[in-house]
Amino acid sequence: MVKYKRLFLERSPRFPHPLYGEGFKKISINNLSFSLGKKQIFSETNVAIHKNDLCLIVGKNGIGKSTFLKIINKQLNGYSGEIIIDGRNINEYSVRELASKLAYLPQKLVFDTPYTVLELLEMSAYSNQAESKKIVTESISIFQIEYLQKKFITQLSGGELQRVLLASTYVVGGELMLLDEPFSFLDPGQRKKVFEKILELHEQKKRTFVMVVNSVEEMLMFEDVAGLSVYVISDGKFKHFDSFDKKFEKLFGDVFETGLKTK
Amino acid sequence: MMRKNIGLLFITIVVLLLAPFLGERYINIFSFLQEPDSLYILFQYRVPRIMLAFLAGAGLSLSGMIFQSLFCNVLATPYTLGISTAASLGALLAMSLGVTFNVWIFDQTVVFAILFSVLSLWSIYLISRRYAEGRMSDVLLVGVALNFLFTSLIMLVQFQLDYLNAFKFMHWLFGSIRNVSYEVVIFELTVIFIAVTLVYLLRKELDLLSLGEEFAHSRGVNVSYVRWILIIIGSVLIGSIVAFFGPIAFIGLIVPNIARAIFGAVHKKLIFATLLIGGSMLVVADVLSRALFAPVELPVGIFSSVIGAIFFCILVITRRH
Repeated sequence: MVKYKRLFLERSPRFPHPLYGEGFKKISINNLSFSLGKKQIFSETNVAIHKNDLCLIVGKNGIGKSTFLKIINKQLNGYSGEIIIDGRNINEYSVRELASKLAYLPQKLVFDTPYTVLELLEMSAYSNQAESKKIVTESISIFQIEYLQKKFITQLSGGELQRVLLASTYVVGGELMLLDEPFSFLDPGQRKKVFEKILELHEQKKRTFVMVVNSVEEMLMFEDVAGLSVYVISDGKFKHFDSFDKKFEKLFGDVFETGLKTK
Repeated sequence: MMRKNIGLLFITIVVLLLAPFLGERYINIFSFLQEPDSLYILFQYRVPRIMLAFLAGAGLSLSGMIFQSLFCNVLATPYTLGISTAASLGALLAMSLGVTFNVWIFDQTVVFAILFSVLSLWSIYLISRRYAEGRMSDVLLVGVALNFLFTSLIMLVQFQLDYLNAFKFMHWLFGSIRNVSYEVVIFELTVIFIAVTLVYLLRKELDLLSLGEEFAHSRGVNVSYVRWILIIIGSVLIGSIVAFFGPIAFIGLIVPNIARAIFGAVHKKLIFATLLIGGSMLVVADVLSRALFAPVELPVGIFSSVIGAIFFCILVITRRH
């Protein structure tokens, strides 16, 4: 009953969110193990991500890149180990509180309900309704989607939809942004646009990013970005690199059985 | 936008004010003077009937809207998912048991209808989550299969009965506005009032849920609680309406789609548009089904099925464009 009461109260704009505006400092994942059926996805792996990092997660298909994001976002249970955001275990956060720390963009979203772009953005401000108007306006101007506001989300092109979705993820308010394959299905021009917007949020708004990327081109776009970390998932562990150096190149070659072309 | 709101309100009021005077016998102001019993017909029969038709239409449409948002699919409705059929099966089983208890207007029919609709919706939901992994076409197919299952179970129950009862049940299955009394009006009004209040409180959650559970979760919606509440609201609505009027098909499919096309998909408005359009539409359908073939009274369920089936086809064909 307490939980239902909280569900209704938490939403009210009259109860400003206790965590909103606090920002994000650090997430640490300690001794994470997880298996899907008989398949061991992670075994005792550790990751720590700090404010304003930009992390790329690389690995073979089906190795658990999306699973990792889902675990952090409390969509999957049944893992062992602990995930701590700013000193609190994620189990102690309500779903809404978590959204004020991290914003997650799922992959391959297909929408059937004819909302307009503006409506989508407004409803994405669910977890911090007190400031929804301000942040919606801000996201529209950052992502330059003024001209799309009145359009239906069911009628956007792939690139337009991806920018709208990024804007809606920005609106959520969490400063740790988890993006699952933000570049898939985009042509090179659209990809560059989305990339520039991510950089803008990273540099000007000091957002922290954790991104799943799937191709070498997507990865190499980020080569010179400050605060870059690359995580390669193999054998159930995260292997951390600060740049695309020789060691990374070797592991990459071993994992994917194909070379990495760096400058 | 304002004009649309006023327009809908105006149409609803006109429908509600006109409908009691239409029917097998046309009643007007002068007939009160000539025929004293017309006043009795009006207030003991026509007015509560119109109220019930309005409430049933509004409730069915509201539950249709809830299911469409919950399953993220404009074709999901109590009827296409087999939930009204499950409620009918429950009511039928209860009726064939004979009266075991009777409090106010309730006997076990209402309880069984609500119970069966909750159970069937819950099972579809579990199947859709565990096995169909959110592929809505699969969920709809599971609903169709369950619909067949419940229909054949209904036939089985009917087969066991004597002619008189079997015919009574068959007539009940057509779906029509009967059991006309102010007690039923009070009951349905209470159920719908509570449902609307809860759904209105959950309007923002519904907005996000209709874009998919994962998306809603990522925006901070506590999906598991909201889902529970919505499933219970939706199936209680269906159960309490089916128990009294039988399964009136397709209203729950047509109305939310019309409302969405006119008033947009945001639930804050959609809820009220759905209620008013749904109520007025069933009142009109009920008046037509009484008046078109007078003195024979066509069950409104047959009438709404014919319109609904055609509409369903049009929707399937055109919704991608």
